[in-house]
Amino acid sequence: MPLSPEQRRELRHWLGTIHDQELDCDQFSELLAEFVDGAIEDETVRKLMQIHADMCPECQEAHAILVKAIDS
Amino acid sequence: MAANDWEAALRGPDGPSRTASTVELAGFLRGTLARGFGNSLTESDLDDVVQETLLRIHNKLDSFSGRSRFTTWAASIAVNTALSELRRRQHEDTHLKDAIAAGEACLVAPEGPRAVARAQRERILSDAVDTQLTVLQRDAFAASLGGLPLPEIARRMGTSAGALYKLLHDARKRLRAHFDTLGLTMNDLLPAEED
Repeated sequence: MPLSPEQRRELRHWLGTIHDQELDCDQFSELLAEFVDGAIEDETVRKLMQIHADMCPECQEAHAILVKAIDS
Repeated sequence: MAANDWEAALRGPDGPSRTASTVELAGFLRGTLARGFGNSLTESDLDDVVQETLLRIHNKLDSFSGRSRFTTWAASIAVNTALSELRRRQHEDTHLKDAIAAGEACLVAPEGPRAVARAQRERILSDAVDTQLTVLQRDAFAASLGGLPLPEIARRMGTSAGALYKLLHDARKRLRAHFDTLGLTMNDLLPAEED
């Protein structure tokens, strides 16, 4: 069974975009509330949060649902 | 009791104030989850997730930094609790070894005369996975390709999502470094026009 188009896109993104420093999922979860509230003052950390959300579909989903849940 | 007072009440001694704030917080969490997840969570799911979330909030209260709103922090725990349960349920019939096998099967190059060039490219990818990664990295990579979300892979491997992400981050760097030495970009290996 060959790679599906979606798998190919994910692999291109996953292997084509690599940062030396990336937050892991536990770190992202710990900072998620602050990120959503705009309370992270350190621009580097904010960028790292955005990078992780970009690279990790599961954490991106958590972020999107939290924003929807508290902003509705 | 205002939402701002819930944190203080929860940190306080057992009593009417703490009980009242727990009840109010439960109501807040229920509404938050309903807004965030819509029909994905049944009434019974909401009950279970709220109870589990209250327990986690109680256990993690000392880790609340105060830099975010307490309500956002509590809601983030609820969302992650709900997602864990939904993912567990969605994939409960998928064995890790089957997901790994499905992912490995995807890396087998296609056959046929028209697919020769594509087969060669995808063989480079599969060879790199075989030679550059540790056994654990190969399994995690294949399981992810096989359709299991990272938190579910982590749970089955007996590790945390964070530790697994670090493992795969290292795997990505190894693969990327290998392709760099070959002078190949990901679009060389997996051209978008072939999707």
